[in-house]
Amino acid sequence: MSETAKLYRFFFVLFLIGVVIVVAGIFGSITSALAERRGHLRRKWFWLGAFFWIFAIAALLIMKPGPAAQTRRHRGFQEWIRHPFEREHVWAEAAGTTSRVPKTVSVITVAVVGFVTGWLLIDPVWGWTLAILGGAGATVILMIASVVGERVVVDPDYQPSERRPPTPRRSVTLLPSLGIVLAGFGLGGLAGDLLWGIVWGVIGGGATVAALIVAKEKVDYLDMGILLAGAVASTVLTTLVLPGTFEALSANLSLRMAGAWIPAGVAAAFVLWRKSPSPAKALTMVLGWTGAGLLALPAIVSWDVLKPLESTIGDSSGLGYSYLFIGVTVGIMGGAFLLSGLTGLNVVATVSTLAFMSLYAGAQVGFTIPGLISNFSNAGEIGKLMWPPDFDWAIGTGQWWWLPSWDFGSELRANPLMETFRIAIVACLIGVTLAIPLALRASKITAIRGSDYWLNKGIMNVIRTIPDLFWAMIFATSVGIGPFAGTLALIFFSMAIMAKLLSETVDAVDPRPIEAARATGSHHWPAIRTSVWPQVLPNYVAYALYIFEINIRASVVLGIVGAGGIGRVLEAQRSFFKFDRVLAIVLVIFVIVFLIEQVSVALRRRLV
Amino acid sequence: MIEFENADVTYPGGFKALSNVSLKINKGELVVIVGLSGAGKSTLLRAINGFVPITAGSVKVNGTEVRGASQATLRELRGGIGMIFQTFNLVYRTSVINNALMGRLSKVPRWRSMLGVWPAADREIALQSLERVEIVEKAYIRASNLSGGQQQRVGIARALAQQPQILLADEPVASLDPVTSHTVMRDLRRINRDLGITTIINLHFLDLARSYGRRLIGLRDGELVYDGDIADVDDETFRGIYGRAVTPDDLKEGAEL
Ligand SMILES: Nc1ncnc2c1ncn2[C@@H]1O[C@H](COP(=O)(O)OP(=O)(O)O)[C@@H](O)[C@H]1O
Ligand SMILES: [Mg+2]
Repeated sequence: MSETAKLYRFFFVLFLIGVVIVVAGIFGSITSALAERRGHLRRKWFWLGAFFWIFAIAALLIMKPGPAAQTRRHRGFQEWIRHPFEREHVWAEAAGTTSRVPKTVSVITVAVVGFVTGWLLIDPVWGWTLAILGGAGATVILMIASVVGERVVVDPDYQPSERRPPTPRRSVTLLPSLGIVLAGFGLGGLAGDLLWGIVWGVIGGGATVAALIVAKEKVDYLDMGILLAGAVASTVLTTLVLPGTFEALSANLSLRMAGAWIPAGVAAAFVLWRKSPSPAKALTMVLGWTGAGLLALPAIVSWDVLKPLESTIGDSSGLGYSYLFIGVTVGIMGGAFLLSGLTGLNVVATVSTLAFMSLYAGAQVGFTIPGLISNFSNAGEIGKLMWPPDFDWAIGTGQWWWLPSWDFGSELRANPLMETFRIAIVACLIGVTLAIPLALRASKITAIRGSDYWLNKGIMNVIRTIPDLFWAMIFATSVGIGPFAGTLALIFFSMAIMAKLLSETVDAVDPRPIEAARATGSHHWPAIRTSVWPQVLPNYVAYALYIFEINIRASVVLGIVGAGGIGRVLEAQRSFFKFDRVLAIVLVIFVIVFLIEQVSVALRRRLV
Repeated sequence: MIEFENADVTYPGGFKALSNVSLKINKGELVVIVGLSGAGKSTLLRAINGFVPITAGSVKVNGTEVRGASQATLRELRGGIGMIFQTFNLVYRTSVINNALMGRLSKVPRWRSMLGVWPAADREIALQSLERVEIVEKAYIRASNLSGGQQQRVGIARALAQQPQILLADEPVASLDPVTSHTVMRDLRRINRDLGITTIINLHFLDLARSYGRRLIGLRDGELVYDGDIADVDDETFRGIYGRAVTPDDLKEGAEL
């Protein structure tokens, strides 16, 4: 029996469980209503059952057996429902054609269905939990199914030659441990509120990527329809659903603005499409426009346009005239993207993005030329205040921040230096991991196809042109000031550096083994994994160490703009004009950064 | 079985590298293709596994049409066709066994190859194919530490690990010295005889072809100019393939063995 058949059967059982839970939930609600008790708990059961139900239906739909199986016997709905329990030979007949949809798409869809149902029916935390459980569950099931399905094809009578060397101890790959670490951080993040920052990425990006994968070679009108449907859905979410559920104003508004602009982005993409059917351009368009929506709000907040409205925004009833500003800003950016898409002049999009961002960054840090001149006269005064550095405060009685804190709870925030390290480590790990697929797809020799290359190269370049400080500001305004914003900022920062360095390394690898791997009938990514990855691995590790080094330094600076860590303390002391304490902290940081750099340099030298 | 019917290959630039080639290769045959550099030998070979799309006619492998086949069909097809390259095309920064395991890529689930967690059975198959080309003692050594002849044997082992029905060798000995060339050619002939794998070998010169082949296919400027027994090759056919008269040098090595 094929993997797909097993999985299909599994989801069918899941579907039945869902039915049972729903029935039990309804029954429980009725009885509790009769008993005049509140049906709250049972309502959750009901929703949970409904989730199982929808989730299983979606999964069954995706994994509907392929044409070979269908054309023979399974035409009607009844046949289709009966299908999971059909005799084995039906599946044997369909073998090879059953998996119409790539397994990755199945997993993503299951996760998205889990997310949407959990979110809509219960609450966002449930949405994320179900998304992760669903995605991880489906992956594990697929893996288990494939292991169970493995058949030993080795001749049992074969006599190994005497020259065969003993099997060396299998080198423990980094992957499992890295996975555990990442999962730990992921769960830590889940407990907090960080996930709101990626809601948009999952809806928009997920739908886009899924559509691309389903499309395989080219995106057709049907897929555009899917994109549009996804867009409409997210607009509904961002305008109708989110306002009620969100407490945090800034995240709410950012997301809503991003969502509100999707239809425009899609329409523009469509125009582009008709002119030149390039999925990459069209998708870059959508991403660019919605991305602009995501950026616009924090930007406008920083320009104080919304200040007068702050009190009225909370009830999300309306934004008044500031909608106009937001609209104009996003419109200009979107228009620039459209223009650049139509003319093929990417420079238009890049320049406008850059101009927009530098204006924003400049406004945020008060970097204006006259300000620069007048402020320089203060420099001498500050110098006098700095000496002697107050080490007593910094290392002595101050904030206890030099002690390592193993307590992940309340201590986390009270320990700025550790916080700085944590930010740097987490961001480095996540960022360099996320950079791998991006880098591989942004290199001509490893991208799946031309459109894939252009799309990812575009994404990479956009991410890369945005400075770390700007990321920090975006996230500080959208998820709130604190270490989480700093982590997100540094994730993007690390990802950008790694993607660039790695994709350039990949560009330079020996391409001939890739051809050899393809000649064996391999799928794309396994071929890349076995032929390119060993070639770039040493460089990759070296880059990761280098990025960790940069992250330490950057996270200190980012703290100053509200991204948590030691920078926060630094900024606080500076604003109290305690310049002697500032100097003490700076010196301590200097020593630590220097030490880390030495270790990292030594390690890197051994690697490459 | 491999069948070419009036197959043409025109490269995107407009260069016609194969014209009107028709031939039939039966299961278990060992065929040598000779021709000058640029005659279209590689193109012919690559048309079989779909690396080069043919632009007219048809190419069928075990009854499956290669022309216009979907990616999935091509992958399945390639899974059964091993390929050996002039430049070996190994991954030098990893071990010999990892190179051989690449032959299993089409047979193991993707997550396994992505994580590098190969099933024991597939490792065993990789080791057995290394044993077949007598390089198994180097299994855990980095591929870059091997000599040229050893590297080509790893290349053959990688193809054998696919448990293929067809082996395509594109000038497998062109970067090797004469002695090593003979070892590799003997390996290929042995594999063809022992395992009954249809084997097609591109060679630049006729001498090696005479020693190891039975059936010879001559290509010149993309056209099939000879298809027959090697023993029947005379001066006339030689001139037809190479455009010049045969010299004692061309035949020397054939006589040696
Ligand atoms: N990708 C390509 N694009 C254009 N022309 C090509 C390409 N590959 C090969 N050719 C041309 O096709 C002809 C045959 O090439 P090839 O099959 O490699 O010959 P051989 O292997 O016999 O040396 C040569 O003239 C070569 O220049
Ligand atoms: Mg050639």
